[in-house]
Amino acid sequence: MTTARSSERRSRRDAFVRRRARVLVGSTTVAIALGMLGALLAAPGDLGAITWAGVGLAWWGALGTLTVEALVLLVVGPRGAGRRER
Amino acid sequence: MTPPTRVLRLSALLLSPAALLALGAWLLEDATRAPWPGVALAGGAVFVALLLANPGRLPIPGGVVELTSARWVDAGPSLVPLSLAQGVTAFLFVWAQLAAVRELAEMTDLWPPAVVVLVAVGLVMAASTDLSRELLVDAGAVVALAGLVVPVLAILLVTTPAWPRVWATVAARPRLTFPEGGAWTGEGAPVRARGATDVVLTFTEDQRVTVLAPGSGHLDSREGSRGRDVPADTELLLRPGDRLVVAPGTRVRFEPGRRIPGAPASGTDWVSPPESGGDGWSLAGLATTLALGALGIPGIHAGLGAGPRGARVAAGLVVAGAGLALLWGLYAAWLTPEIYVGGVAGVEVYELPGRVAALGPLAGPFRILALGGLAAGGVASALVVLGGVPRHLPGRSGGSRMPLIGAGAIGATVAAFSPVGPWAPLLTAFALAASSLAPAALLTRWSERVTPRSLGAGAAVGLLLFSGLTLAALWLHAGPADAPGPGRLAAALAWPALLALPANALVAWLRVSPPGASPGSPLADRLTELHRADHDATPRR
Repeated sequence: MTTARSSERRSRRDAFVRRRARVLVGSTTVAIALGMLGALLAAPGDLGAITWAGVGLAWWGALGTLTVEALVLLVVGPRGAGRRER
Repeated sequence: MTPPTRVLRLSALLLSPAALLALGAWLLEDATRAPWPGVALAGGAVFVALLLANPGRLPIPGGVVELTSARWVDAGPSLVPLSLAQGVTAFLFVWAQLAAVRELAEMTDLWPPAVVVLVAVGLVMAASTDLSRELLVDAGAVVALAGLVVPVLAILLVTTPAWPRVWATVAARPRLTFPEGGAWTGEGAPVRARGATDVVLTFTEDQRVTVLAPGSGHLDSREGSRGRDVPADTELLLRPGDRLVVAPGTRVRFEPGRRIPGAPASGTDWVSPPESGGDGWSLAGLATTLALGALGIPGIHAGLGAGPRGARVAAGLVVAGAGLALLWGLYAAWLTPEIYVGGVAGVEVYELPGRVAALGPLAGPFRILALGGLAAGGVASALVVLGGVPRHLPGRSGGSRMPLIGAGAIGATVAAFSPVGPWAPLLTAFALAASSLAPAALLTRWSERVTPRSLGAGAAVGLLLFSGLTLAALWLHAGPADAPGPGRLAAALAWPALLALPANALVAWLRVSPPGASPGSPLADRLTELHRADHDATPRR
């Protein structure tokens, strides 16, 4: 019985560590996407104002960043206990 | 059972009227950099969902103080800097929302300070009782989301949903001029300005302008000759460089086909303004403040909805809402260029439905829905944040309403009688939250070795740095010394979270307990409790 309880507590730790790694990956992805958009806006020569398909690159970058944020939510967003975590 | 409307709270908090008004105003001034704050806020919502809600609901009302207390029963004096920061952040946030309410009230015939004080009294009364607070928050969040989504979708439907084409059209304008046949060139229209200050109209080309009765104005001529008063119903021929000063609400008639005073000279200037504040440090400071400050805003946990799916939906709504806020500004710039007259406060953007003739009889109701949504969002977000005001006073065992009343009363006073708009206090609230509260929110959830003392020390350092940098910036702003030019020092003064947040995290990390847990050892009970996905009660004390 003691072994079973110890094993359960250890599996909680494993789940916590896996979850923390997954959250780190998701947060880093969002931070990188934001950083890339920031770099575009701060780039010399007003790079973000250059138009592509009629719209400024900054807006395409913003659209891309919002899409990445939504995808991160979908892929590594919060999950309940019922869903298996890898 | 948790109502589904709970998921709307995060969007009400992060896309509050104080933020939406600023996003709209920015887009009219600088098309290239305008998406940045909205995208950063959306990033903040994703961080909140990932870092605070994963894997399950965080059933703790309030903020970081309550979260820390849930993990350590005997946190004691370590909570003092966190409580102080949380209380001040809540006050600043409420001030920002009340300032937004004031700007909305300025569009009506009501006396704005009276409206602000009435709303503040209602907020404090509602925040004192759980039932009315919950009902008002949920109802306000629903109306706020409807006001943000429905009118703009209707406008897209009756004009064109092809926003890239709209963007290209606005960017290709050779000049921004008064259209033929509108109110501004016909019977005249009232010019408005933020606060009670006079409206200054600066002209860049020859134009015939009439100040209509019962108003009057003052003309400052470019040639430097002494200004002269302009009586009502006087037609003036203004030259480039002339400035016409009128009281807010004065009706003025402009000449069709002539440049709109206050507007960018052309579409090119809208895309790439001559004086854009877009250096890398400023952009990094704004993003750090908004995206990481969201983690420490009091009451943010209440916006995560019920369960993991609720948290994902809540954050997804903020991401979508940030995109819609951009469309509001874009379509306002396209359909109503004359809103630049008198300067842009942001409210004009959300009056757009009332000016779109294609909406027919729905134009009025959609305008009311948009403006009402902003007001309701302000009430909902302020109530959620007021729920995060620490209620325990030193020397008293039970909770007290005094902090709540104090936050509401001071917030109402400064919002009603100071000329400061909503964006400055909102940004300060996010900066303080990022500087002093965000690391504690993160570490309490995800660090095994962190202790209440390390969190308290980190928060104290963050709070001190934030206060010092903010006071230095205010002192320089007042003028006794030359403000530093663009660069790291100027960025540190303008964006204190850039320094205070890492310093806070570093101190908290350096003071953690020595490593004791081996990979095979169990997780601490209370940390386990915080990460249980299936419980729905406050962790036991």
